[in-house]
Amino acid sequence: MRAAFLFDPDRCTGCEACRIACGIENNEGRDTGWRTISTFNPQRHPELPTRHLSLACNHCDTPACALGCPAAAYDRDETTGAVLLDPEKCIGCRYCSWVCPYDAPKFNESSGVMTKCTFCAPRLAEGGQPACTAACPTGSLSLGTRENGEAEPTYHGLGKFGLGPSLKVEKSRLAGPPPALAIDELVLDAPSQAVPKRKITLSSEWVLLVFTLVMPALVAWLGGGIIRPPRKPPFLVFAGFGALAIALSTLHLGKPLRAWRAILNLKSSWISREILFTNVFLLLGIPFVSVPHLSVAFGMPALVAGIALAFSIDGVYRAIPRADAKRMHSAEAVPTVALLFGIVAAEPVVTIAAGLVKAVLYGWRWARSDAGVPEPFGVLRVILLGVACAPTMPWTIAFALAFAGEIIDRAAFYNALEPSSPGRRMSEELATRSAKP
Amino acid sequence: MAYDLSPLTCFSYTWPVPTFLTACPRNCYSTCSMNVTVEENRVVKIEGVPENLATPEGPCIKGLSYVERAHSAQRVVQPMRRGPDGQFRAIAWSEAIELIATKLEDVRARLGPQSVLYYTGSGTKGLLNSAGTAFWRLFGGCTTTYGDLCWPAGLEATRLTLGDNTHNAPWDLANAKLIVLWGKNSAETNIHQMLHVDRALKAGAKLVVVDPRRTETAERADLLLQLRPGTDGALALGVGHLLVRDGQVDRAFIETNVLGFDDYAKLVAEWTPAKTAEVTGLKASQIESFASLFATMAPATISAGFGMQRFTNSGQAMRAMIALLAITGNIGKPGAGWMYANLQTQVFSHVKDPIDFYPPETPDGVVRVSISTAKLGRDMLAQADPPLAFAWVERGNPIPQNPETRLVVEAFRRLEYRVVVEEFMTDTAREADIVLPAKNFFEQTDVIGAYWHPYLQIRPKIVEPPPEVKPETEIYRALGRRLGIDDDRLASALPGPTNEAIEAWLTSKLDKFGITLDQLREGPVLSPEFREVAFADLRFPTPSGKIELYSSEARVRWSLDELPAFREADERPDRGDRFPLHMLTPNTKNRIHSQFGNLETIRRMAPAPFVAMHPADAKTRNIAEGDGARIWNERGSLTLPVKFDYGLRPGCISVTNGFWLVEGGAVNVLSMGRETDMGYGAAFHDNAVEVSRA
Repeated sequence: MRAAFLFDPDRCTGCEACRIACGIENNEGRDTGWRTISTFNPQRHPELPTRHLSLACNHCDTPACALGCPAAAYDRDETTGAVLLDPEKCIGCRYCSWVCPYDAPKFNESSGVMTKCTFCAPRLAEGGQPACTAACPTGSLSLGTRENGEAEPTYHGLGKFGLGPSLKVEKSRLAGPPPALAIDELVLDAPSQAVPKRKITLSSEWVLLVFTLVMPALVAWLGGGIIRPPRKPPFLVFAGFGALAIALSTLHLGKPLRAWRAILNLKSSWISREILFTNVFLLLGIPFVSVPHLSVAFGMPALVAGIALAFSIDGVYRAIPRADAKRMHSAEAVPTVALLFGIVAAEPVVTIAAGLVKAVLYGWRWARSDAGVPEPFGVLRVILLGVACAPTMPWTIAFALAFAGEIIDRAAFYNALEPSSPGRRMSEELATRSAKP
Repeated sequence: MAYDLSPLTCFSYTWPVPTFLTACPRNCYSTCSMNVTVEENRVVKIEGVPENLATPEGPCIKGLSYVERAHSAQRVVQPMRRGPDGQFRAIAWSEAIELIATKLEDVRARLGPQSVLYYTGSGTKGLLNSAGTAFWRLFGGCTTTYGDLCWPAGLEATRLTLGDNTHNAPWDLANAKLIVLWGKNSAETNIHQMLHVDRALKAGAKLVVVDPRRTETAERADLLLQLRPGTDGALALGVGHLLVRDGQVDRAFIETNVLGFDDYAKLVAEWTPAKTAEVTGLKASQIESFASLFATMAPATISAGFGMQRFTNSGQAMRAMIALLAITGNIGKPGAGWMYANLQTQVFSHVKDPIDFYPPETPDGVVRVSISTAKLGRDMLAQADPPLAFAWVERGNPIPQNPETRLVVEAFRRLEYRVVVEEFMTDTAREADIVLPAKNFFEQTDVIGAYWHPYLQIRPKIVEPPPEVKPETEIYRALGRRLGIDDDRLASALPGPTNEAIEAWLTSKLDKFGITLDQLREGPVLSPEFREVAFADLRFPTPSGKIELYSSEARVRWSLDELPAFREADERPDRGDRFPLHMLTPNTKNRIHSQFGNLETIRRMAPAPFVAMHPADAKTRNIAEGDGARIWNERGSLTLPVKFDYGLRPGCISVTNGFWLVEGGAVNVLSMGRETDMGYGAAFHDNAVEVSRA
């Protein structure tokens, strides 16, 4: 049995007292951002009810934030069951805010670290209840208990994520909108609601774009150099780009000086693995590329680390909850490594196989009008991919063209990448409902 | 800290810091009990008080926001004088009192004391508020207002029909099987009522909401009747028609307790579903559904809001609504009745509202009660013999909040001198010559009642005010001394300066009810007049002793039909002439009238005013969501961004009231200074406008 938030949706009026009480308890009256009230159908379209969901951290049994955190900054308070973040350990990578489907962890720009709901653990420990549940003026939000393995709650803005959230939602008595005036003569637009502001944008995450292109390219190049030693990457290029990728991604952290902590959660964090394999790959790769005529056997460990790195990069993004998370993307690191490796190694079978996989995945997305970039770029991306796969092309030019194509596709990947959140799920649900005849 | 709190130790949970029981004194149904934590003379936490059965879950967002408001950097904390450049500069109290007294002596000598307007709003409730009038009597007199902005038509309709404004305990609503929230958006304006509504609904009750808007409250409704604004009376008569026609009335109850049923039956005979539908803009089937709920679900409670009685025809409409309960025997029983105003705690006045704010039948020649609150600007300008020269404003912000802002501003500017006692630089304070800092309710002990729940509550002094902030009682004492009023006479009007003296004064008021301040410190105390079920004894203090569907007083006092007959409101936007849209100016959860909107806590949710429009009305005017729209009529205009709201009845627009002129959102630039049909209320919602793209 575990403490849980109980939410009675029929009693919630969206007043936001819970959010204000949170700020008073935890931030001297200023907003903490920990609790969010999302509204379904805020324009009160007559076909649908208007409903609110008040959500903070659900202190899950399997907390995605803690599992994904590379710095092992999360811990569970055993007395209260609260999932707590240690701000002294957080490196400010913001990854927890990407993997939490409840949008619970929030980045604090001024401190450079994440903050999140503490379940008001000190109050709980004293036998009290969190400030938000105590403050709810309608009794909609309260503190209760939940059994292990209890079914996940369903409601507007929630979903099945298998994390074991400490949240119970009462079954709503209200099915539809209030029976009201039927305004027959008015032709109404389909219901819609604003999509919440994105957490991930290309302009805010360009550093990650650089990292996730440069590192696979270096892996592929080194791998090709093992097959064809004359094509080994020059030391300066290899070390320079490797250092650049590491430096940029370190400076991208809210707390760059704590970057070393990023490998503390190899057990469950793809970021930790990504960072570890990046370092291993570069450390093993540098001797191989800098010493001429070294046996290819010296390159193999680096290549293995590099391939592990490519899988780790993709693992990082696969773990982000979103509708198409299970679907392979044409800009993923593993096929990119294969494509570029084939070009350097002059193995057209590998190149064309990887190119085909990418082309099919891309075409599939295109068919769903989900290319992610303006059409001229999309066309260019396909042309670049095709030309790069042509076996007659000098490898350096093919490599450059293929890489350019991958830049476009990876940009499209970041453009489309946005974690699912309660507000997003509400606007998606509204769009689905309005699409029905 | 060395402030005198020793006798005030109240609730103590597990926290080691002191918490104090107090109550929110705003003009709001809920009048929440609050547990306040004070640290180093600052309010740091506010939590609920389960002992208050009406508000057991705790205060609303405004109550919580006192943590910011009590110590806001925006507070006026010393006397401010407006210079010739229009800028306010801090001055010493001695200088402020000297300036004010000199001016008061001057106008009193030239024009007489009644050239001073003493204007109070409903900003803060408390027994000490009576000190102001007592002081102005010592000054020699003044001019004041009659009527009220808020709720008089409904009060008077209730008084005429039932004899008294009282209703069942708020928590008794859970016993109802039919709840009609008529023109009331409790989810925003009386959020604590929603707990009791939900309890009833969970037990199988039905909810009908009558409102042109699909409000947050309406989301829970089994039937939402979005009628044309101002036709509530017609709807009530139409429902009455069906109940009478189908014999769904309580004959025995009517026989014993109702006066004028036969005349009423004749009145409703013409209100067929077809005619009612035509007038109200509803469908006949909706009216029939409503009537059939009334016929089948008992007990039934109608909880009526205030907005709906701010029309020129709304007193009569309210009488027609009460009639539905009378003819179905839904009065004097648990879960049944007319829930409008509960003045069970108004035990300290000689007469209760609304009579309390009517002009006296025999003027005393000292206090001239000659200005209609509803027509403040117009009547201020019209005063003669003497004309007004000086205004003293307390607990109010009349410039954005009273109808016809343009005239109110003009009237204030026409005066020779203005003093405003305020916590913040409101629109009205900005018009002042001198702004005096007002205490907040944590800074002086007082006792308050409520108008929805039956509790008397203390709101003790729990923090020391900023050094230059004085309570009104001390402002008056300083002014009185300077004006040469001797201390004994001042002492007869004002309680002493210390907390002990204030408590002694309050104790003297409580004594006759056998209530002590110590009891109030323990928790909210039920009023001696508390009745869980109002009118359970079926005694109605009307002239006939019965529920009066036929009221002679309606004719005598208000020149209205003795029966609750329907007539259209003055403004008819539905006729589609120059101003074809109905402007609604409801209250929101984010404010009490013009208070709270300046706080960061609130601005996070409601940063700027906007106009809500039905997309259909916007499209015919070529307006897209987010566009600027100019709302205008003959009285003024507002330009605001548009938000689409499918929940509005087409033909209605809505701008929540309370935004200030300086924020560009003061809705009363558009409303007309005009009284309701009874009770001297303000008919704000009789307001036709047009909207065009800005």
